[in-house]
Amino acid sequence: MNKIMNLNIGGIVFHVDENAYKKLKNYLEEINKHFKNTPGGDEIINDIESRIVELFQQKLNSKKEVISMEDVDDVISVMGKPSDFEEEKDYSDPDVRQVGKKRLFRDIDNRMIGGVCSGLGAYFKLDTVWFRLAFVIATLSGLSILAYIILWIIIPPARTISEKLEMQGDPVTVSNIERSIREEMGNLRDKIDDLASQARNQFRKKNY
Amino acid sequence: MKLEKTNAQMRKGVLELCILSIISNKEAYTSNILSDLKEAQLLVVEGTIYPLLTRLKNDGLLSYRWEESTSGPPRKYFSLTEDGNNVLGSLKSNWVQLSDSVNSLINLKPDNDE
Repeated sequence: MNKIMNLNIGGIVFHVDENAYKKLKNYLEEINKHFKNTPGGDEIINDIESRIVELFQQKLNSKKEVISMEDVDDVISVMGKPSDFEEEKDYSDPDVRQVGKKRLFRDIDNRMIGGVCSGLGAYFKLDTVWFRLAFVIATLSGLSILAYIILWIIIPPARTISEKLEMQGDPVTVSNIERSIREEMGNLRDKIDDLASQARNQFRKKNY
Repeated sequence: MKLEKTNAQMRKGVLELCILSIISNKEAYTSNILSDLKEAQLLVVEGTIYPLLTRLKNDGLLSYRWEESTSGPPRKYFSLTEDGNNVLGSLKSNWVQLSDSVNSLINLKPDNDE
């Protein structure tokens, strides 16, 4: 005979056979994980737990006081696994992996010195020129060179594509990353074209 | 496998309409809704309904009240809000139209006369 464990579901304590306990616990955790990040997730989890309590109570009586493996299997097949809840999935946008949070980075693609001003411009959605102007004016008062160097040190540069998206406040989605890669590829192609035409010109000059 | 997916998609489309109309008939507790849906073979696993109910409630189509139960946890009794009633009305008329057109389409007999 297996050990009997106590399990609290939705505020009600059940006596559960040890093996059944493990399975049930895993199942409840799976549900928790599945709904944790959906809107109203806590409420959904509570509702599902109350229903499980109800189903168990229907199985118990004065002669049967312990939840067995069979009972757990039965409840899981009635409720379904979170992967069976697929029917609901399409309502949310699966493309958004992470809500785009904005972070301050140095914009090293558009930098003049360290990318501090261009990063501030991207963060505050203001033209970089205003920050540069402010720094130049402040330089006359003698403070801003030190400030610039400190900012240069403490603000990380946006190196990866997802960091660049975060810098601009775009959500990090697969399609946004794809767009950024396309843009970068486009830039690269332009540069190669430039180089190629320069080389061609050089070559022509030599032939004269 | 693929057939099952298509069937699930079809059910998904009408599930909201069915839930709203079950609740519109009488104030309903989740178990009532579940047994009605299962009887109509519209639901495969019970878990599907909870995210749906929560979403309908958050969209302002449903409201609920708690009622103590003698034999278990307190129960949520759902009823339709005014918005819910309006949505149900338009879903219903849409469904009638849709099912009419689909029925007439799938019942078209191929012309075998010639």
